[in-house]
Amino acid sequence: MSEASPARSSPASPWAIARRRFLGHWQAMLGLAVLIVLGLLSLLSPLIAPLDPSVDLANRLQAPSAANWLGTDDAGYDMFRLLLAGSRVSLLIGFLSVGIAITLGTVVGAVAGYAGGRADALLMRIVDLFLSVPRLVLLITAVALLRPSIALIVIVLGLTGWMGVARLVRGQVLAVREREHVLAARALGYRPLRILFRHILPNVLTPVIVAATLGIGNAILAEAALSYLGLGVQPPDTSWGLIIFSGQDRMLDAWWITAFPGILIALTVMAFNLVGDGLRDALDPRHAQ
Amino acid sequence: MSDALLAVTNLRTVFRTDRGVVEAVRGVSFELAAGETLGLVGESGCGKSVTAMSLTRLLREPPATILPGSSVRFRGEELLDASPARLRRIRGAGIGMIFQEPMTSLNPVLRIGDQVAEAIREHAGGDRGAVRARVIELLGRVGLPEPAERYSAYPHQLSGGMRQRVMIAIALAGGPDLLVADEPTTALDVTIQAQILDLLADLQRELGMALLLISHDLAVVSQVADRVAVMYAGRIVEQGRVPGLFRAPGHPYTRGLLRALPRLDTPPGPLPAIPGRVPDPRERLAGCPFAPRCPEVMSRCETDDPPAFPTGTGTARCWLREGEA
Amino acid sequence: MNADVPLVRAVGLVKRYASGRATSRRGHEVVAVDGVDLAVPSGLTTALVGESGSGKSTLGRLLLALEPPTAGRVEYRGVDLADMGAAALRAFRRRAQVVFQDPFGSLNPRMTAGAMLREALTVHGIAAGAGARRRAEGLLERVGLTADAVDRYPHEFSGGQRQRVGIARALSVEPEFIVLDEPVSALDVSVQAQILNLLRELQRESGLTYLFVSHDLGVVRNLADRIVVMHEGRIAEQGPADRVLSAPEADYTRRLLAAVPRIP
Repeated sequence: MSEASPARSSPASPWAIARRRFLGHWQAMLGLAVLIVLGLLSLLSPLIAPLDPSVDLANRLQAPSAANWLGTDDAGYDMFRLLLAGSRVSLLIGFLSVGIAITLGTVVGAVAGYAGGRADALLMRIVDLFLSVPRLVLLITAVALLRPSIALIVIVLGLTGWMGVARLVRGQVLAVREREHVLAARALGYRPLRILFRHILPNVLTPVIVAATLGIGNAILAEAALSYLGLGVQPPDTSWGLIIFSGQDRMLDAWWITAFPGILIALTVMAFNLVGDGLRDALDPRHAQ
Repeated sequence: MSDALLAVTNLRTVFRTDRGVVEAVRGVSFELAAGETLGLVGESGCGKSVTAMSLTRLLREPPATILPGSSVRFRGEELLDASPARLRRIRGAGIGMIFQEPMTSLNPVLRIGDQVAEAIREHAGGDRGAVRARVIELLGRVGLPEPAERYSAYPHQLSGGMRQRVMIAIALAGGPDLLVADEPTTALDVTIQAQILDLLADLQRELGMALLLISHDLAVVSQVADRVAVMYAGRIVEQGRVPGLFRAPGHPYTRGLLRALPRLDTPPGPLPAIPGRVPDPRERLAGCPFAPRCPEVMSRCETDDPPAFPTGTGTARCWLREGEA
Repeated sequence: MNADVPLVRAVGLVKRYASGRATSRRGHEVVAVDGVDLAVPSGLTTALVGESGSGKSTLGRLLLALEPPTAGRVEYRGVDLADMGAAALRAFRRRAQVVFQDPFGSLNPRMTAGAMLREALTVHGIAAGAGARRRAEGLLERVGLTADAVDRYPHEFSGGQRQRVGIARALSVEPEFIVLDEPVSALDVSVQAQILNLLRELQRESGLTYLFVSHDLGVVRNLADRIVVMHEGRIAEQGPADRVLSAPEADYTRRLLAAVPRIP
């Protein structure tokens, strides 16, 4: 006599359930809304509000007005368009560097956790090595030795951000590796690569996703700090950090030059954090049925 | 019988979840006399643990709610009306509880002696010397070898059986009249289980304590209990004395369970399994909850929920028992 | 059925773990299996009975080459598992399968039942594409579920249903030997009976050999032809089920039987 499967009233895959929980999390939705607006503006800025590269000294250091919503800087650039142009760079650096960090960290962590033994020990010592170097110092050194560029910043941020992910993934892999469904996969004669990709990693990814969203915020802050020190993005490129740098001598009279990028950075990082929190709550296995 | 130690009447506990209201306990009534052992048995989801936790309001409310109309009288006092402070005093001094997993019920970072001492101080008080002496006395009472040395041990240094003994010691610290044991031996090996059950029986006799033993294991309950209540879908479907209930069960569910149980004294071979599955706790049920699976179902069972009728050893909620002596 | 030729044989099997495991008695090492000689006859159910720490689960894994022994050897149809190359080992994996105790760990929470079965079928070249899907549905029906279970995720099933899926997974590669590690211990009484009946039926239909690991003597009594009693890594006693249960020779077996609560 057959047993009927339970009736399905709503999407049932673990991802679909998590997505539904995420969409119901109002703080995460707020953060997501901010990011979507920012992302769209940033992406479309060359079309809707391109920055005129010619200097307009007649118009310099104007306070926010109807003509220039956020004022102008000391070269006469409209702040709104300047910030949009800067957002492209800041967000690009944020996403790319985190992309590198996550990929590298996941690979190292997965190999260390699954292989165990000497490979694990070796890889973890390398992680320790990288962790012992202060990120900002490494960044400053690299920039001092080589020509500063967006690519360099992305690479250095990526190479200094992967270690936490590696440790996280390794711990998760170690735990999931002992689960019976993994043992069953071994008993079915599946090869280690298949087991790692199909049976272990999908069950390990959730904290990595959360770490990624939070990491983007960190990367944006790191880039801003660098550029503020004059060691980051260089003209003619612009970034939020660079804008703050350019306005630091005029913080009292032309306050808009430093205030607005500062607010934007804070807003963006906050938005990423809210989304990260929402993702963590949505993906938390303790909420699972 | 208002002189019963514990009298539960029409207990109804529901949970509000984001997928609807779950009626975990749907009108449970039973009594327990002083010094008596009642076994509460049922399969997973039948509501037995929720019943136990509802007695002293250990559930988080919300999401749990004990519905009005429910009554839990302990030594004549209505617990569901008691203030939080009064309830705290009763927990431990009047009603003690032990649970299934001693590793998580004991604080892993505190010494076991200190944990027992804490319970003693809370309910009986005394100076350090007196408390320590009492701890060692209790640990000895529950059969822990070398209690004075074991005082400073941490939970992870003890075996499962020994940890469960410590849990019992903590539960006894307040000198309760009733011990509620929720699956106390489920996580233990069968030889250790036998020791713990013997211990509980000895302590009961010595202290005149009543025992409410909750378990899914019919055999365990049959060894220890004076009476048994069988739960299904949030209700007690049959209550009766041991061994009578096991020899001549009055409810088809009890009969089905006993037949489906693989036992040492039954020969190998296919077991008559109860068809179907336990109803989802979210379902609203019309009529007898067991009707969809009952081999003796009548048309009346699907529409009318039977009340409790007397049987040879107790009562059973089954229309088949209507009209019997 | 030639019950004299053992399908699986263990000779002098020892498994030691370095410190870090549960309760270590001998300083730094835990000896999980301490010198076991065992023969599993073909076509029958051999029960491996013991309490926690007896080594029964570890022995099950050793017999499936899921862990390497510290000493001794395991032979399958006369061939030492340690001598098998990659190809022979893969062929062995088709012949020897495992069913675990549910509830949560034994199925991949991110794969549907159908996907799990189809993976096994395609990796071993038994079927592919639409044929694999049909076979998956057939397997699920054979273990007592309906065909639409193929699209369900583990969390949508009850404990008993998940166990059926686990059995279907083991059957998918058409094994002749299955190690069942406490397959019904986490199930309710009514479901337990259903699963035991299913296992019995499948054995009768396909001539399967079972190694049934359990601590529950009642369950073992229901299904076993032979019983092997383990205690602290060693075999205390073994023999035909009826004899071991009614006339135990070892002290430990007697203690175990005496401790089992009986219904009046």
